[in-house]
Amino acid sequence: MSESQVDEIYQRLCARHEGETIEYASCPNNGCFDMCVLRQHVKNGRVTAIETDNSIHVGMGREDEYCNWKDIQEGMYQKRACVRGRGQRSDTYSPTRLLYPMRRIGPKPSYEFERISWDEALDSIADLVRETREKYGPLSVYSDGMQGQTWDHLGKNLPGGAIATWAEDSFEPTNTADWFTYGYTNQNCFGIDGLSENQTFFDSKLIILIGFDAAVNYPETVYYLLMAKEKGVPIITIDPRYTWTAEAIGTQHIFIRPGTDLALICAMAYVLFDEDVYDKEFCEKWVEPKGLELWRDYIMGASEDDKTPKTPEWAEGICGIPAETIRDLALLYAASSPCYIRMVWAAARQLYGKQAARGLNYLQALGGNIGHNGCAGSGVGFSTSHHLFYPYLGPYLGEGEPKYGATVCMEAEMWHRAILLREKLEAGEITEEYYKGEIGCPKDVEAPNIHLMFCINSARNHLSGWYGCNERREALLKVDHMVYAHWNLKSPQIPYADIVIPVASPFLEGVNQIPSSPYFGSYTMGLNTGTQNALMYGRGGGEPLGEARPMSWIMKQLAVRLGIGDCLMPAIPADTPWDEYPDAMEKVAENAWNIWKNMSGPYGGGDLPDVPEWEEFRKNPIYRVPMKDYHVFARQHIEGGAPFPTKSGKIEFYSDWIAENDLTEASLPYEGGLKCFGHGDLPPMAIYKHTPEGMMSPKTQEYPLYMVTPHSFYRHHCAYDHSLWYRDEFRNSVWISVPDAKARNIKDGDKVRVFSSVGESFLTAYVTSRMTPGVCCIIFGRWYEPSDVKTKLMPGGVDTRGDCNMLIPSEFHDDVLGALLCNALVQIESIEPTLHLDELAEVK
Amino acid sequence: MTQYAFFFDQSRCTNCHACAIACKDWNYGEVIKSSYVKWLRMMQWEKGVFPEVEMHTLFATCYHCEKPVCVDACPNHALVKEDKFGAVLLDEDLCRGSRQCWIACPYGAPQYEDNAPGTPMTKCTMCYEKIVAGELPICVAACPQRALDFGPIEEMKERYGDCRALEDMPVADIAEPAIIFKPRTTKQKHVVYDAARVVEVMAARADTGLPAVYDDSTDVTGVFDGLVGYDKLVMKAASVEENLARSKNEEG
Repeated sequence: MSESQVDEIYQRLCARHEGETIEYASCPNNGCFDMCVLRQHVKNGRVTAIETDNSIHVGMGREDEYCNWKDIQEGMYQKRACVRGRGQRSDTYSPTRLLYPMRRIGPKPSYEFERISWDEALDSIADLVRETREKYGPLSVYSDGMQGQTWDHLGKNLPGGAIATWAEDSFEPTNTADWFTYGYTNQNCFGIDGLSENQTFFDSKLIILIGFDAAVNYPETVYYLLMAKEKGVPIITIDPRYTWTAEAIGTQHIFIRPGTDLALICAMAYVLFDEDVYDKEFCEKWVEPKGLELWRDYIMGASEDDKTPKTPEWAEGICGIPAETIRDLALLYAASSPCYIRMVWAAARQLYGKQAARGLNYLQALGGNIGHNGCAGSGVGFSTSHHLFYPYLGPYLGEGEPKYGATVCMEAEMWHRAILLREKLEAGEITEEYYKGEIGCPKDVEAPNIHLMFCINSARNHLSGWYGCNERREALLKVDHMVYAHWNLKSPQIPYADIVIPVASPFLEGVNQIPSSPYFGSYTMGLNTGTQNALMYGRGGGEPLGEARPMSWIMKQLAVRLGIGDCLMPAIPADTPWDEYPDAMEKVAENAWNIWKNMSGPYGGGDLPDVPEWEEFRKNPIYRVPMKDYHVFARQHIEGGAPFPTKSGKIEFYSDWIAENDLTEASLPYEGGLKCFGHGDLPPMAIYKHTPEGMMSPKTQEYPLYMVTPHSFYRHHCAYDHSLWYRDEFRNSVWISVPDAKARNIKDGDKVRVFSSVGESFLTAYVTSRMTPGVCCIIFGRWYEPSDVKTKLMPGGVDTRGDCNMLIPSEFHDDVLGALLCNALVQIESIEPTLHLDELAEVK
Repeated sequence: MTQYAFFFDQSRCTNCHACAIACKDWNYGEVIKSSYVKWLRMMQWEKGVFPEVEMHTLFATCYHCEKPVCVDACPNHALVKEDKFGAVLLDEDLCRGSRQCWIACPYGAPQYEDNAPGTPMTKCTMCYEKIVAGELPICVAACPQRALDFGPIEEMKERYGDCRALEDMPVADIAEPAIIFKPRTTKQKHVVYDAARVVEVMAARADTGLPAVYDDSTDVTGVFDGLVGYDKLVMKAASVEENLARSKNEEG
């Protein structure tokens, strides 16, 4: 070799990234809220590469190998972006990126659009909002929302106000469980904070993760869990799948049938009571005694109406876990306090799921595993800030209270039923009472009458995001109008839109927003939730492609056209030209920083060490403070003695509110609105029942496989499914166990048809021993990609991508409304012999 | 010459592919497209049967071997072993796509966009321009779990020991790859969990009297030819299609 040859190669390599500048964004993914650093290389208005945090521990590969342990303990570590942050270029610069506003010229569903100008698009959308409201009243425009609020930032400033919805379309069952048990929801978490920060793992004697596949969603939590494993903390994972969390983090894995978590919890509680090893001191002090007694009677088979003891032998056949394992697990749990025990929200996202979430809260209490170092958080486990409170930009944009507010008149995901049943209501085929019960409308409130789906500022994906997508498709065809903002042409909602407008990437193209979230005003300042001691500012370095614009700009323009320009972001003058808009937003950020920096007390930065001036912060926009101690949920109660905000001041197993009210009539006043549970019912305490969509359902005779739908490494919710880079990293398969595959004569790689009572999909089989028999898995968030094959079940075309929500019925049976349904009973059959991996070698 | 080496901690890897995406982002240029070329392949393979299944991962890239058999194999002298870091670098101008490097390399590191003879080879550069600038290779700095490290091989050995091949990998002494491994964590039995009992209790649907999930437990525990995906580690795939398929996971 010659030196000049190496030098030539070196020059060539250097040339690829020559002349680039650096700009930052905080990764605003919704779900982890980790606020990781995207350090962007920018050239000619385009982001050419993304690196991550190097603001601390520069040059350290295996960071903890080189840094002081004190740094890890104090939360002083790199905010490394996960695979979702790293792959943003392939989403933003996708060949199918939306570049211009478009108007429909052909039938729905189709891609027959014509390009229009921004003025035409905005005028048309504003006209639709105005005309629909004039014709059908204020509750005719649906813009999504949750927790008693609306994301219709326009409607709540127009006479009559807007539609607001109750529930959360994510953690509803767990939140409800927390409310009944602790008197807390995430909504009033300011000051209580359901989280236990990551350092808690190091103080645990035992960690039990039920269905909690941290590896997929919470990379920072995983890092701390891995270090806990290396310190010798036993970590037991319990899941229907052998996940990467089970492989990398867990030191023992136990398979469980999905939907049976509460049976396991009951049987563990049985052992604790039977062997008299539950934490009596804790329970006497902190658990409301009547409820404890009633639940104990239920567990021991001493209830008036239930004489079955919930023994490990009883649970064995339900959960698929040997009785001796359950007994051993319960005894280990009792002997290992503090224990960090956490169940994934998704275990409660199903029929009767609220009971499972409540049961887990009880189990935490029985072990005394609340409020101390080493313990987990509340069920929801959301956080606010303890070490610093970031300057959230909302207030600085100058928005006051909305003029007209919003009416809580439906459950968050029931828009499709509201549309589809309306005709029947108007024809007198159903009563108003029935209509309201189907959509969760309180009886003394006017029901919504949806004629315009305003899907602009939430960037949601209604044909892949939530259960019942096939029915939602029907509703999108039925509703008068749907207007939609997105960034990728392949988003499955686009063929159903009247007007489509292109949004800028919140990662790479200017002002940050959360793409799958409503917070169109949630700019720039991220907050880390794993350990809450860092914040950053990120503007993003690229220019929006084509005519894409940030959602905040779009909403401001629409507000101006509706005559309410001053109501939205008054700090940004209505006549700000587009090319000055990003700088105008940055001025607001600068202003926010300066006010925050000089403000004393818990919400300001005035008492924090070494807060830089704006100019300096703008260049190195990551600020962190060492944590003195870490937060654990409910310490102020358990160690500080303050009562819980429940009726009894204690942790409540039994809810008097449920017992005393007819849920079909009553509305639960919490979350700033009314929760109205619809036609179904809830037991006053956690009671196990087989679900009509579960493995013990008679429906399994026709649809014998229970489909679980966990999150993906490569999407957050249903964003990025058309990223080509990601598509090269995974196969869009359906997981099937070895005996189930063998019985169907299916081999790995075979094309199969997966179908339920409401939908069907053509997919590739992934045959694996990682899967519990009788269970299959389609990873959530893939975009409906219809084939030409149209069937009775799939008049829009059989799905070819694996949009799991096309297979999940929108059906609550006798349960109350509100759970985000994430599973279905399905069948799988082989459709054609396919070439297998080993045979690919022979293909030319 | 100082040989630099990677460190891969299999016991920390969650197989998320952040390293592979970061590699594409830094090295594959501005245009976004699908590609058969994977300088960095995260590979997975399954061992054992339900419920005692194991998943293994491998960080598979060019290991910049101390005895780079590819360099000697290339008839066009397109590969060089550089001497500041021991990086094996490709001179694109000289590559004629003879595939002699691919034949020689035990690890399948040389990558091709097409199966057609003459397709030029391309591969990992150790992020040479970055390490010259005192930075880390992009993959190492990307790992959210800090499962990777990079440095002089002697230092890596001192820190992490001298495991030079993970279970099921080709033996290391052919080429002496510049990589140190830490193997996966062996599972424990904190609580009793008997495989035969699990297979027994997973069959019936409680006491519902509904048809069992399976009638024959050997259907669960048997090993059936060609049934299971990713049932072995194959580092040298014989086609670009197989190469891509074997470096995917099932988590999307």
